[in-house]
Amino acid sequence: MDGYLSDEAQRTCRAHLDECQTCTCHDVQIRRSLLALQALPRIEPSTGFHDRLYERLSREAVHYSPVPSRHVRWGIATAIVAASVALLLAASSRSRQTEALRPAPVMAYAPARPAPERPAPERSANIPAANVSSVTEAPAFRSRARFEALPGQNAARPGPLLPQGTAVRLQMVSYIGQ
Amino acid sequence: MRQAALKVQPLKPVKRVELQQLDDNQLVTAHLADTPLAFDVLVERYQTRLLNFVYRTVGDRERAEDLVQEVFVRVHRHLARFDQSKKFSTWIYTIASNLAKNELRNRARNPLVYFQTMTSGWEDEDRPLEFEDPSARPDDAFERRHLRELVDAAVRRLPSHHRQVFVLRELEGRSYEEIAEVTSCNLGTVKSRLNRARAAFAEIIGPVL
Repeated sequence: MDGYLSDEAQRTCRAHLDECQTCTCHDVQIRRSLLALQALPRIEPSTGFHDRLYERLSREAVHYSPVPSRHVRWGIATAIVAASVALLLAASSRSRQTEALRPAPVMAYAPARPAPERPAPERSANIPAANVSSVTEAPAFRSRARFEALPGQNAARPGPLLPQGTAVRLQMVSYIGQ
Repeated sequence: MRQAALKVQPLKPVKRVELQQLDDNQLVTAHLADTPLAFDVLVERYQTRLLNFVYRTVGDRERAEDLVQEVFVRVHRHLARFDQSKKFSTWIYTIASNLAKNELRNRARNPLVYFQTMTSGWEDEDRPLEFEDPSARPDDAFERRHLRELVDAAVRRLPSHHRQVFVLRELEGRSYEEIAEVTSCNLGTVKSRLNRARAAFAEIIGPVL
């Protein structure tokens, strides 16, 4: 019964054993075998057991450095994680700096076409002649590339493609500003 | 209170008798506070129990002594890590159980080496009885010894995972819950293994009783 059955279960079990010959034989056989087992003498450590053990323990004390406590181990683990995160951050910021120093890409959208014949614009008194002619001669679809290459513009992030006329006007304003 | 006193004054000599009255976890605390003899009392308390448990599991006395020494060395090495909210006896039996399992596993890999090691140190009276002399009437001592050998042999014939549970329960008197923790099994598995081990043992030893 092993002391693990409830009183009710024990009563049921005993009632069954009173009636069932097979189970009674099995129960008796197991109890007798366990008695024989428990009659086995306990063995004792040999006489040199203690000396050998303490010799080993003293050797351990010389060769073995004790394991740090749980708090120290947590501290070490946290330090390792923090160092890894710092290294990762440093590496990512360094790669961002390298990207910023990279020269602006030269964008070519299509091969140059011959400029269409256009009537020469009327000259304004405020605009230098050279500026006007250079803008006029530029093919319309190149205007964006030129716009991006202007000093002071963010070449890495080109803006939306502007209508043809707008790009030309912007370029002119920029030239005038200089 | 006594535990606190041991912690505060670790170097004050404490008599062995006083230490023997402490429970396992208090002795662990005392040892960690550098109280002399605290570990010695733990060794004294567990050496015979562990030796019998390991001996019944591996079936070789000399090897069992070596393994029990290894248990104490490991306990000494890792005592600072022991979670004192748990039972020390469960922890130490778990270490012993794992070492015994490793020993059996190694033997299964190299059975010839094990047999040679085992028989090299045998003396005549250590050998199991091979032939019974029909001319001499056995006396009681002989009968008892013969029976012991048969019981020993019957225990060794059990499968190792059944044997461990069986020895822990029937010889060491451990609770089902503790056995489950020591052997890393659930409670149902422990009960089932124990039931099978008991039935198998009774079947082996029954005819000679």
